[in-house]
Amino acid sequence: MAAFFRKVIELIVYLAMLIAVLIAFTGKGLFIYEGF
Amino acid sequence: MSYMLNMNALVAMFGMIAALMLTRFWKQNKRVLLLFFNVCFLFVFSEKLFAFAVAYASANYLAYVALCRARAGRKALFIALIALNVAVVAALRLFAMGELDLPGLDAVSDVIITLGSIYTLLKVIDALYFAYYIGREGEAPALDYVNYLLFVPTFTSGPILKFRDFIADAQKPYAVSAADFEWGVKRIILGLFKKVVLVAGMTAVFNDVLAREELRTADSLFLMVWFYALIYFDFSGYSDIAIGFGRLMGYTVPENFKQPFLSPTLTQYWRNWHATLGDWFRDHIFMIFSRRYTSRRAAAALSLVIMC
Repeated sequence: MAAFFRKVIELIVYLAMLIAVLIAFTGKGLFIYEGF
Repeated sequence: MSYMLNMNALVAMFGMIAALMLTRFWKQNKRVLLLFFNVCFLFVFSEKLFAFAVAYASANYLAYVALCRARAGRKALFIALIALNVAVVAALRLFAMGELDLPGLDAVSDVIITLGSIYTLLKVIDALYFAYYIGREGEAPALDYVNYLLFVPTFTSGPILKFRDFIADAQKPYAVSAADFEWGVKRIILGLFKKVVLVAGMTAVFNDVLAREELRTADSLFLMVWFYALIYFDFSGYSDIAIGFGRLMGYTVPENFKQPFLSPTLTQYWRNWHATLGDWFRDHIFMIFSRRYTSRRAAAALSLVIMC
């Protein structure tokens, strides 16, 4: 059960990070992932 | 540029991973498809960069094969090839910085072709060391050599791949388990979060403090620590993304930041900070020269030169 909850929390944390990335993605800079 | 357009690169990378997964029954998929992906990606990113990178990789492959097969004058050839590569990349960088005026280069050159040039140079030199020390038995197919130099996830910012490890990875069939997939995706999200969210926010704070009319000692100390943390998140973010994508494409990309702030000693700290660059200097410069100059003073001087 503890492992399950740990996984759920992990999922929430990574989802939150992903949403923050999607909001903040600007495309500025020469970095190949951004300036494409 | 619209928001969606900027996601093209990430979508292309995940598309490549999907293609690899769908064709995993084909043993050569990760070698052949990767070559196709690497050159197409560079072509779409910049036609000039594509033309330069393909020409540079092709010329260096011929040089690499020549060194593998050479029987006489190996050492002279080895040194000449490294010197030539360093000269070409240095000239391009100086030209891009406006420090060098080369007639005729204006028409064909562009700052864009210097993108990733230092990392590519370090990889070329690693392959030349491999060819020099292993000889004919170390000759790798052109496909793998070009993939090694143009590997998209590490092309601009490392981590610096080792030629021997990359070629060994290329021989293995594509295999990414569910656990690998989860680990890779998490690593990419973490890297993007560091780079796109944390670093952007930290840079804004840094600029705000720096823009104050009068900087007090506390402000300067804060900026010093803040900037150090900013660099860490920036560079380790790049590395996380590259390592994650590399793993999902079936290649092991080495760790660049091995929790440096938890290192027990200063020596260990520097080994764990940008580890692949430190390893590169140790393997290609320090180990070679320290055999000749064995005194402590010579080693210290060499370390200083490398750090500079």
